[in-house]
This record gives sequence, C-alpha cells and structure tokens, in this order.
Amino acid sequence: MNSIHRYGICDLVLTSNIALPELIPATEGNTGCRFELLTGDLPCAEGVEWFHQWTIEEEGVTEDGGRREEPWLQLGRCSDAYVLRFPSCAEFIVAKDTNSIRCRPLAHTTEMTVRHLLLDQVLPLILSRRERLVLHASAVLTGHGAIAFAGKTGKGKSTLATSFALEGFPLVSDDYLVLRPGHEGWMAMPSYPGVRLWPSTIRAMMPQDLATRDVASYTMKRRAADTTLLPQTNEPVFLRRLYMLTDEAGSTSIDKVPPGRGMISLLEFAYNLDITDRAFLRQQFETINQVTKDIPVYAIHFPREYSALPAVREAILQHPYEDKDIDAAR
Amino acid sequence: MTLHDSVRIPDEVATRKVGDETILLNLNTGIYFGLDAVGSRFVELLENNGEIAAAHRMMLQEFEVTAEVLETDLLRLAGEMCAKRLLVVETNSEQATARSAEQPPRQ
Repeated sequence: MNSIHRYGICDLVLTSNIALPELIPATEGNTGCRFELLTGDLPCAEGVEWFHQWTIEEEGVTEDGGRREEPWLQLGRCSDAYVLRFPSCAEFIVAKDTNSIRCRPLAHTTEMTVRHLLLDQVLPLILSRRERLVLHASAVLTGHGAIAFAGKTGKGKSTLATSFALEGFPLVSDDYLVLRPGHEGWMAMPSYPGVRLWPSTIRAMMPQDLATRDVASYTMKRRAADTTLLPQTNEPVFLRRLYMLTDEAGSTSIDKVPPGRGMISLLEFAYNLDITDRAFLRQQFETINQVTKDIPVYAIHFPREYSALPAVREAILQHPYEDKDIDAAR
Repeated sequence: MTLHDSVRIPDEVATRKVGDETILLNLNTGIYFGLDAVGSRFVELLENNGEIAAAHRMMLQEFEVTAEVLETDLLRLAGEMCAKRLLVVETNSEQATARSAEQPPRQ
C-alpha cells in the first residue's frame, strides 16, 4: 500500500500518494485537496468539452508567415471534473470542487515533471477557484511589508525576487501569488521555498557551490531552494505594492500606473481555471477592482543586466511610500 | 454604423469606472477593454440613452472638438466595441422611421 504524504502550500493542506520534496510537510490542518498519481497504461479522459487552450510559441513560422504555436495546456470539462491536458506530458483530472487531483502521465513523463506541473501549473489554477485572487507574480517581504512583481513570462520576476532574497528579504512566493482579504488589507500567502531560474542566472547570482535541482525534463530551468541563502516567510504578510515589470529600459524608473491601467494589468495576470464561468469572472472582476483601489500599482522599467540589480533593488526600497500606501497596509 | 444607431451594453458585459477610466469585461468571451476619460464619458452617456447622436450632441458641448472629428471618433470606438461584443446595435432610428412609414395605418 502506498504511503500518503501531507504538505502545506498557500495555506492549503495537500495530501499526495507520491513524495513532493519541494513542499514543507504539514503537521496539522484538515486535508483541502488530495493528489493521486495514477499508474499503468491509462486512456485519456473521454467526453471532454474543451473550452480553452494556452499555446507556446515555436521556432520558425507557418506557411503563411504567421507565428508557429503549439498547444501547451488544453482546458476542458466533463460531467464532474475539469481536465487539464498538457499534450506532451500528462493529463490532470481536477474534481469540480477542486478537492482532488488525479494525474495520468504519458509513458515518458518523469515523476519530477509531474511534480513541477502539479506545483507550478495546476495548483495556481486550482487555487484561483478556492481563493479570492491568484496573480502571475513573485513576492518578497521588505521592512514595509510585501511587494510583488508581476509580469509576463521572461520579464524577470524570479530574478528580481531572488535578488532581494539574497540580501535577506524573505521570499513570499515565486511565479504565482495568492491574495486573500484580511481585516486590515490584502494578505500575500506564502507558497513554498525556492525559485526557478535559468542556469545563466544561477551562475551570475548564486555561489558556485550552490546545490540546485532540475525542475522538469522539458526545461533547462533549475530550482534553487536553499533557505539559508534564500530565506522564505511561512506566514501571510500584508501586500503593500505591486510592481509591473515592463520591457527592458536603459535606466531604472518607477511610474505610478493609473487605476484603470492597473486593473487591466491585473486582469491580464490573474489565473483563472474556468474562463467560461460568468459568475466567477464577475466576482474576479470585482475583486481586481478592489485590489486596484487598495494596493498602489507601479510600472518599473530597468536594464536587464545582473550588474544593475543592486541599483534596481535600491530604487524600489527607496521608493517613497505615500500616505495611501501606508493606509492600505494598516 | 451611423450616428442614427442606438446601441446598448449587453448584460454579459461588466463595467467599472476607475478614476477617469472605465474598464469593460465581456463575461462570455473574457475580453476586457479600457477606455480613457473621453471613451468613459461616451459609455456613460450611452448607458443613460443608447442613441449615439444624443451622446454626440452632449459631448460636442463638453469637449473642444469639431462635430466631424467627434463623429468619426465615436463611430470608430463604437465599431471597435461592437466587434469585441462590448456593445450591440439596438436600432437605427432612420431605418425605424422608414419602416414605420411603410406600414399601413392601424385600423
């Protein structure tokens, strides 16, 4: 009989029939979600109504000169579950109430890849149904409270967060950020230790003897999770500011984002498992409107050079807090 | 589309005024759209009275712009919003008048 493991992530107790060494074991709390890795030669889910897909850009162009894209994640639903199909890796069947996740991997898919897909791709979507808001963002804890960096993939969220963590500012989360309303403001929920970085970033920023792990078989990125080097907060913390990472710039500058533009940005960076659920979309729209009112949003422009990171950090730390910011954190 | 069209924001579109701007989200398609202060005023007027001509008349008094430029801008914006299903055309007052003129009088 398989042993059952219990972990905590974003205040969710997750049980699993495989070890998830990336997570911190949970010693208390009721199980919120069960994960099961299925084994054997399993057919794909049938009777699925596919309603959305995410694509990734491929090298080259199509015959008519367009961008070549292939599906990365297909989202569908059947009678009592959502189906999240990564065509080249695995299929995750998520109960409608999000209390259980079953994974059918393709034969060549390693357990490491399954863990990565679960923790970094599937869970944020599941949490989007369970929490008020999940953003595509990394966050760190400063002396003024948490600050978050939101942006598209490749804009430097993890690199900037790592830069702060290496200076002793604890990580709150890497890549996705759960926000929950508290009595005195929006709380950023800690996810799990570590960051995922390209090898060149690790070489440029970390000690040469730092132990890192593969993330998944399809990516060169590696996971750095040494908490003595990259401290991690384990408690929810007030979110004070959101920084939108813009395109590369020659020098560092920080501009206030008008509320409407900020709302559009948060809509763009919000996770959503079921984009056909109108009631959910309306609620998320209201939540984002409220977050935009409560948390100042800034656009940060900076050079994408490792040598510039200390100055970027300093610009963020020295960025004056306005009265509204302080009110938001009380 | 012409100034004589009447339009409305369909039920499946959520709107929020944020400062001077307005954000619209089509709940069926997930498409969202941001409007600046001028666009926001246009939508605000349409919410009260769907006639584009009425909005045009009111905005001519509020903004320093010629009637021709404003007409072009409003029709372009309305067309773009219709294409994103954030606005739907209700009636065309000229056509409606013409249709009613063709109908025989009630007995």
